[in-house]
Amino acid sequence: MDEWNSQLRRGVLQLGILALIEAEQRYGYDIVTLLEKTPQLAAGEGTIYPLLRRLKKDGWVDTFWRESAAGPPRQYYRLTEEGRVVLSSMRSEWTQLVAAVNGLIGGGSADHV
Amino acid sequence: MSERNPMAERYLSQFRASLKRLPEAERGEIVDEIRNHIAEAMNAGGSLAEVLERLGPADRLARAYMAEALLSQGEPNLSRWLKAAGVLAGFSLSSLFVIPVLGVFGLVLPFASVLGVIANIVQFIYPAALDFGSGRIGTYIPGADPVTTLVVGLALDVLLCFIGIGAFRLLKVYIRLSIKTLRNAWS
Repeated sequence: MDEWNSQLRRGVLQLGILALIEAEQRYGYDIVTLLEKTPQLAAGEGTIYPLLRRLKKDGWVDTFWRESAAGPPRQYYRLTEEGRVVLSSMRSEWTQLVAAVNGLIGGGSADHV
Repeated sequence: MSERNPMAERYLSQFRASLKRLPEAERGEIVDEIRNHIAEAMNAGGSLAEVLERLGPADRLARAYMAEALLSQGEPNLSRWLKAAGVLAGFSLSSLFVIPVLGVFGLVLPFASVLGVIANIVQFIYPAALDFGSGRIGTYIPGADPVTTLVVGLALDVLLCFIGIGAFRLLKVYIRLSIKTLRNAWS
C-alpha cells in the first residue's frame, strides 16, 4: 500500500509540477509552498527537489537564474517545448484515467464509462 | 547564499558528500539548489532548525536525488554492460603488451644505469679491473681515450636512467587512465 501510494503520488506530482510552471516561471521554494496547499499530495521538499532535477534531466523543464529583490538570486524553472507537449498529453491521459477509474470503483461520475 | 551559517553549511557539506555517485558538476548544482531553498525558507520566516527538519536528513535527501538519477538513465542495462565489457576487453589486450614492456623498462633501466655509473668509474680508475677479455661491463668506445670514455659512458647512463623513469611514469599514467575509462564506461 505504501509503495503503491508513493508511486501514484510521484506520477501525479510530476503532472502537478509541470502544470504549476506552465503559465508562469517559478523558483524552487515557490513551487514547494504552492504544492503544500495540496496536502493530499503529501509532497515535501525532499520529494519535490529531486523530482524537479529529474524533470530537468528528461528535458521537460529547464532552469535559469534571476536576481531577486528579497535576497539571493533564484533558480527559476520553466517548461521546454517538449515539456509542453508532455504536459498536454499527460493532462488528457489523466482526465480519461480518472473518469474511467471512478467508474470502475463506483465513484461519482460513472455514467460515461 | 550571502551569509553562510555554520549549521547550514555542515548540513550542506554532509549532503554533498552523500551525493558521491553523481558527477561533480551536477553535485554542485544540486547543492546550490538546496542552499538556496534554505535561504528562501529562512527569509520567509522559518528557523534554520525547522527548515532542515523539513528537508529531512542529508543522506536521505541525497538518496532521493540518486534514486531519481538512476530512474532517468535512459539506456537499457544490457548495452551498458556491453559497452563496459568492450572497453575492458580493449584494455586487457593492450595491457598485455603495454604493462610488461613499460614495467621492465621502468624497473630495469634505472637499476642498470646505476650499475653503469659504478662500472664506468671503476674502469676509469683501474682500467684492467673490468676487462674480462671477451666482455666488459663499462662503456667501450674503440680507440677513445679513458676520459672521453668516462664522459660518454656517464652521459649514456644518465640517458638510460631518464628513459627508465619516463617509462615508469608512462606506466602510472596508463594505469590511471585505464581505471578512469573503465569507471566512466560503467557509470
